[in-house]
Amino acid sequence: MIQMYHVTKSYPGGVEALVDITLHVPRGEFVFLTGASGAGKTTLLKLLFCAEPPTRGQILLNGRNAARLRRAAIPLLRRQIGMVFQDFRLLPRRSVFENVALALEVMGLPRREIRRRASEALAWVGLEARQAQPAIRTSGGEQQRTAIARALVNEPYLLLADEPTGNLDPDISLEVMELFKRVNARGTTVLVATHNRDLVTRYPFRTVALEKGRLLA
Amino acid sequence: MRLRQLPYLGRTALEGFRAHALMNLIAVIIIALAFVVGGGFLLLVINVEWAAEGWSEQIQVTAYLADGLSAEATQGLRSRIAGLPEVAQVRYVSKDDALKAFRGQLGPRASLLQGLTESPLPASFEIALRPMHRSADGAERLAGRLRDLQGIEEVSYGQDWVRRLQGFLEFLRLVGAVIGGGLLLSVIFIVSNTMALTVLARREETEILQLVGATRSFIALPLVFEGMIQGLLGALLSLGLLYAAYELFTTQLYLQAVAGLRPGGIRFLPWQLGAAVVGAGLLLGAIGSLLALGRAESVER
Repeated sequence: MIQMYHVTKSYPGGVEALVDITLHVPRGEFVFLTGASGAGKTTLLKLLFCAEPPTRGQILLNGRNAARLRRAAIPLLRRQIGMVFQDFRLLPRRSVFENVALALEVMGLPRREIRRRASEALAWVGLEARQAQPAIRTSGGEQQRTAIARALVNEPYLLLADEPTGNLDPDISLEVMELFKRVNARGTTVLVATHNRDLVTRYPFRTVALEKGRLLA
Repeated sequence: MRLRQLPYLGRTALEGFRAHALMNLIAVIIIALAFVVGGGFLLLVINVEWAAEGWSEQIQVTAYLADGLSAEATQGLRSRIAGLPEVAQVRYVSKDDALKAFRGQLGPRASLLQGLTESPLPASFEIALRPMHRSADGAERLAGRLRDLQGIEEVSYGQDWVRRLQGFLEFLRLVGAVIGGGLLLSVIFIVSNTMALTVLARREETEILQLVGATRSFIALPLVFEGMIQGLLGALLSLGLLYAAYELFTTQLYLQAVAGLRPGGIRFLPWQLGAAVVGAGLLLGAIGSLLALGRAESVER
């Protein structure tokens, strides 16, 4: 599923955000990516999401070399990867439904299909009653569930989450984690970057730790 | 990009236009003013051309005959001229007729001509051209043929004013091209600057679209449509303003008579030119947006 070989990411000025990372995540696994702020968690997710290319090394996603994708192919890859952020990244004035449907609109699916799949995804995260609300008028937990529904509506093979509980209180954080567990149970590979030790210790999943851009053994 | 995505993209463009209504409205007004200047000039050019066409239709060629031409030779010449392809009608003006007409033109001062025993004016043929040849070129062509005929001494058709008019028209077209080019650039500049602000305001939305796998065209098209809406509204507003000015000029102020360009007065832009103005608005709006997008992308890189 995810295969990273000797991946290094450095920025102008010689700052090395990731150094010689080799990481394998098999299909269907749930992995926590931990580390202090600035350890390189977000950079690693950005590379997996093709937001930035690695400086050195190879990244294979589902057998495809992400480091060598043409620019035009990146959107197609992203449609197979769900992404969830700490700050939700929703269109605030659009409704909960429209935010989820956006991931299907970009694919040009027929209207009826968009309606069906977005409604299913919203039902799955328990937001069908709130679907007409503008995203900005929903709670933080609801916004994160909207973002999860948007990430899952395309039935991605990989879900990446960057500090998904960072803006949520503990109870809501657990609700969100339960959703991730259910996603994983459907067969989706899940990679959650977090510095929340409580979450990591609560769930029996593999943990990969980063420190100053290097993987800890 | 699929066709069924167009309604969504159009809706997004309209929402964007409404979201920045004031900024877009100002841009539309500035674009409209630019088009009013360009369209006003266009109106001037087409009316001067139209008037010139009208004047050309009244072109008449006069062929002056050599003195002492016999009646037989004159008749022969008349038949030959009447047979030329450009000629609709030939009227013979004898030396005496010419003098009589001249006396008429002098009016009360005709006494100046007293004492003339013989007409000093040459006999001539006044030649009307067929409609399709009623132009400066047609007259020039006919004059050339007439000069080759024996017995004709001089040909006149108001060459000087025709040439002057043509020169003036060419000058007008040149000025029009310069003004038009400047205005096109200014419209592109206006659209691209307002759209640059829109691109900036939409940066977050663009990031979200990229996140869910939107292609570049899916992200760019609403912005291009928004620029096209600006250009379209600007062009339509300018046509409305021009038409209002035209109506005021022709009906309210009765300036038709003062202008006196030709019977039928001043005319508005023909629909083809109106459509061209609207098309230019759409095209310039799209170009302005694409430039703004290109600039934003080069900053990101």
